[in-house]
Amino acid sequence: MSSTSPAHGTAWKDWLNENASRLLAYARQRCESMEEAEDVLQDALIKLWHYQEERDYRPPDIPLAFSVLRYIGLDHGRKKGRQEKRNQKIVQFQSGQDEWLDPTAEDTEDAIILRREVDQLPEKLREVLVLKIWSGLTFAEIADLLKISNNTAASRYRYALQQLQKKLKHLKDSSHG
Amino acid sequence: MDKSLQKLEADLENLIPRGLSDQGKHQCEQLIDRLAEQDKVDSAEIVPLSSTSLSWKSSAAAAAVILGVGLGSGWYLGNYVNDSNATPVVVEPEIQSGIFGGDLITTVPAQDGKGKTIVINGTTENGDDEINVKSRTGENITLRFSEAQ
Repeated sequence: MSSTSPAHGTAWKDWLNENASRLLAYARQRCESMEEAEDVLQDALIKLWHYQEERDYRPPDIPLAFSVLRYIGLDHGRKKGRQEKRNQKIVQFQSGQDEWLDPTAEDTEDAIILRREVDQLPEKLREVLVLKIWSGLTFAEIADLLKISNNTAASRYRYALQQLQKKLKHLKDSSHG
Repeated sequence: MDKSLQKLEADLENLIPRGLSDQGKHQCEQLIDRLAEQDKVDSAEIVPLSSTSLSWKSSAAAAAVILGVGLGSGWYLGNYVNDSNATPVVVEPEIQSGIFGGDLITTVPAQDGKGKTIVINGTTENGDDEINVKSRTGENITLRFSEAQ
């Protein structure tokens, strides 16, 4: 069995610095807030650390990280669902600061609308879009993660873009009309 | 893929995902330090960032709740737990009022900066982060307010 050292910790911290944003972007799809997404990420870190014991505690490959994150996120959602009463609706109010796509001071109106519309995509389309655009996975990696074919991954991605494009056009036409 | 979709792709790539909050980063780094020290860490030990100190005040005379709408930054109405197709709605952050099912809901940030004061049809309920209310039709509904990091 490998033993750990502070050097392993440093390597993991560097890995986390490099990859936290894209991991969080994906985790956020399964959570109601960025805080929850950060909780899911922490749980994933623990699991990943134990997985990597057989690999000399090297920081994990990105596809493995996403796979674990997905599993933890699904599990988190299931546990949360069981905790809340079935006949109880929860209306969640959050400040706009909870956006997982970082608003900037120079945001154009298009960027603001785009962020909002991405959030409103159906889950299956949004998941592929997030993995492709912000998590940097290939279609093959996405397909493997989601247990779908490469073609399905590519189709969902294209369809997501088309949906966004259609929505943006509709909004622009409405505002000019 | 046609040029318009390629442009959309580029526009999306310009939107930057949020990184870890300061607290989240600190907690992750501490966690890594503990793991590197061969400390057995159970995820149950980690204090969730999303946990809030719930101070419930169940409302005996409750009302149906949903806030009104407005665009821009501010409170964000999330999805119902059981309705994944619900559209999130953003409302103004300061004084917020809305009507749902004929009931007027107003929220005002509390004077001391902690929690909010929620007024439902004229009845004041002090909400910290969650408040249970009952709709006119007898549904149990929880209003959950959170300030994201």
